[in-house]
Amino acid sequence: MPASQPHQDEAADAGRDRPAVRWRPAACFRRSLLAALVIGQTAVATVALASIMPLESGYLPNLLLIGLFTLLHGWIAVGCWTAVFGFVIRRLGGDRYSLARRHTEESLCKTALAPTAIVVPICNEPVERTLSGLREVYRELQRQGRLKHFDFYILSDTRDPEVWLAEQAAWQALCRELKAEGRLFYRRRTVSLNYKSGNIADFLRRWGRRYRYMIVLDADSLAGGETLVRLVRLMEREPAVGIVQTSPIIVGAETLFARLQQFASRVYSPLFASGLAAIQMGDAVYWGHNAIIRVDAFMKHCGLRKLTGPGLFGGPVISHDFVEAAYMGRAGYEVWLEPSLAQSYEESPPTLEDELIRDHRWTRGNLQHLWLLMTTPALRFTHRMALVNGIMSYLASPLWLLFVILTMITAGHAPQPETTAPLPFAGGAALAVGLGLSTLGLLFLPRLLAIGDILVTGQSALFGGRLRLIASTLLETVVSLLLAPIKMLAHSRSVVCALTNVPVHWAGQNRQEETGWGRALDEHRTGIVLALGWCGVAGWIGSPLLALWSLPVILPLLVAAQTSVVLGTKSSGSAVDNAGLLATPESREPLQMIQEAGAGMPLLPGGIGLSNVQQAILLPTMNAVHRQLARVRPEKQTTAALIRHCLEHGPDQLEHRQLNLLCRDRQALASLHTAAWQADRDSYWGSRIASLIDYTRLSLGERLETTDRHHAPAQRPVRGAAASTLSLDTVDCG
Amino acid sequence: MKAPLHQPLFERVLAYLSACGIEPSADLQRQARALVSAVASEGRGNDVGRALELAPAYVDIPASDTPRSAPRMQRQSMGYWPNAR
Repeated sequence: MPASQPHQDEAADAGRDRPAVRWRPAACFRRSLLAALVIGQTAVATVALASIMPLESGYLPNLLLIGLFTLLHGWIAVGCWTAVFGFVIRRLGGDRYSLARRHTEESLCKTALAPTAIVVPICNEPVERTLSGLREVYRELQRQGRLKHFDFYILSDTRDPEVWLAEQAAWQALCRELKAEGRLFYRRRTVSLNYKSGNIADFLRRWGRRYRYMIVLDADSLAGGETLVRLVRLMEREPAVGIVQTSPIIVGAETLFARLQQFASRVYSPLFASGLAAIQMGDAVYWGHNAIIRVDAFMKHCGLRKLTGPGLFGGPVISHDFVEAAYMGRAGYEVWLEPSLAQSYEESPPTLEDELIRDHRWTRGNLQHLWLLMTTPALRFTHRMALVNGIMSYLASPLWLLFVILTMITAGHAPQPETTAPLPFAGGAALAVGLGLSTLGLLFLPRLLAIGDILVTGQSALFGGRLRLIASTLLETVVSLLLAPIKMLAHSRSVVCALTNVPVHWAGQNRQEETGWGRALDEHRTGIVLALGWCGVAGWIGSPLLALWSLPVILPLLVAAQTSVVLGTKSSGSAVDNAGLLATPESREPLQMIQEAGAGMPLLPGGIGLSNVQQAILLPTMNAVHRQLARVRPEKQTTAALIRHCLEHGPDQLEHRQLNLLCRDRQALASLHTAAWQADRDSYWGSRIASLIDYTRLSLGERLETTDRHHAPAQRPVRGAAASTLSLDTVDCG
Repeated sequence: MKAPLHQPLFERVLAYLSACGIEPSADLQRQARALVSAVASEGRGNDVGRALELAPAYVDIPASDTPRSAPRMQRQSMGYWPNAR
């Protein structure tokens, strides 16, 4: 509860069906239990490792190895125990402290809705796909009869004129199709400050006051109408809550890689999300999308300043969501993760390369949080832990790499019984086996629990049956093992790039393209070279033990390109789907919303053979739309020169920034339009108009060149309904 | 006035009208012919600019229905720590 707003205490209590839920003692108990389990298990494992370490590798490497082991073991133990918490909570029928369970269905239904903005920040996204998704969200609310409470904002940061012109055209088409004028809005920033958080802040500064809540969706997000309405009602009933985060499920996968992610998300996520929600409770985090936010609290407390540190720690906050949740918590508001809210979806990157590109950006963003951890006062402990967890998500990779190298070096020293640790060999072996099993348990127990949870609840049929569910899990596990070293290396590189402040360029997320051999080899060449080098070293030293120890890491790196290509194609995804593997309830019987979002009616005109810039200049309808959205700018010589150049040589030779200048200048668009239509037949624009003429001919289903005197009208190759009234030769021109 | 002489103008006008979102049809062709004829009768040859100028008088060109891209602004500032306390 915000300290500055004590009156909300009563409001919060009044809003609930029951007195305010005192969740903090329960949260304290659960977090203490988690800490005890993680620290206890890690301590035992560390002692066991220290006992069986060979002494030959030296004191310092051993110490370093043990230190790394402790850190990494603790980190994966947190993940495993979170899943165990999730399993227990789910088996107990859900968390009684959860936000959603505080209110009866009846009371929620009686709760009036409040003005809510659904905002979709985008940057160089596939236009048709993004707006098709938004169309489905709109229709969902329409079906619920709740549309009047919601406005929709497409908030574009796109810089490529080909893409943003398409966004504008598609937005206009969608408005027309849905009759959503005055409800569906489009805004593109001409100056993209502070990435996505800056885009949202820009929206809030202009229109935030109009709304009590905003629901943030990503370009690939989908949300059911019922879920959206429920989110608003929960917020209305809980004035102390600043953010409610749903747990989106991955859908719409086509490539094998995305199908694996989709399967993993559907099978394992419920467990992890339930566990996380049970531990974090009202101190949960925001994931940046598929969440509802209390606008006034967010505007008042969650402004993100640029970081003022050196290198990486300077400039805009990239991974804004965790920080905003932490700021919301600092202001006294609760942040809840609600896994029980269904119908919240997102998509996976289609290929391994795309995921690694995304991770490269996220690594930089998460490592920036180190600065915030050190310099930001008054953050809640749980939010600090969430920031640490986010940092470790990527920092763990170079630590793993170092750990693997040290392990190999240690293993390279042939174990000699007389020089091993004080424990007798038999005892050491038993400890080693125990340690290995314990570590494997940490890695694989969540998978087993997730399968157990599905089997116990009798949901296996939704995944294609028990056998297929188990086979799919095995397949997913094998691929995870193959991908782990590849990701470890890639993330290590990302961490190094981030720490050395190599800038990240964001050109938008690929959401559809497949992986080719060229791209795969380019991405994984470093790993392949390193693996080959390591094989060479092992051969040169003549240590079969070293080769054996390194096999689980070296082999995946050697076949990384092949793995990537196989995973990154739709055909492999279809093959697995045809075999009934990696099935999820949503992939087997997708909701109408998911189906339509993937293959809805096209919004942009196709088959004209003109680029979006060409369409904006030539097509009167498009030109009118873009002119309307453009600004009136003072005439400048540079603009006049660009117009001349564009008329003479076309837009292809202009740079993006020059085209941006022309296409957001109302007068320039009008001048270009008029002049292009008057261009000579042999000019650049004349040839483009010729293609439009061809298109018109095709539309007419007949030839317009009917002035051929060698054919009588009856003999002319005329088709279509307008065969009798064809051309200019019937015009009396005087 | 020879028809072939004005064929390019006719084609361009028809393409323009189609691009305006008017379904190509016999009726549209008739209107386009009348428009070309009017331009020709002014003795302006293949003057596309003039044809486009006259087009609204001959063809019912659908009005551009670009919706409002944003509602009225209601400005407010973002709060930054520690000012937000």
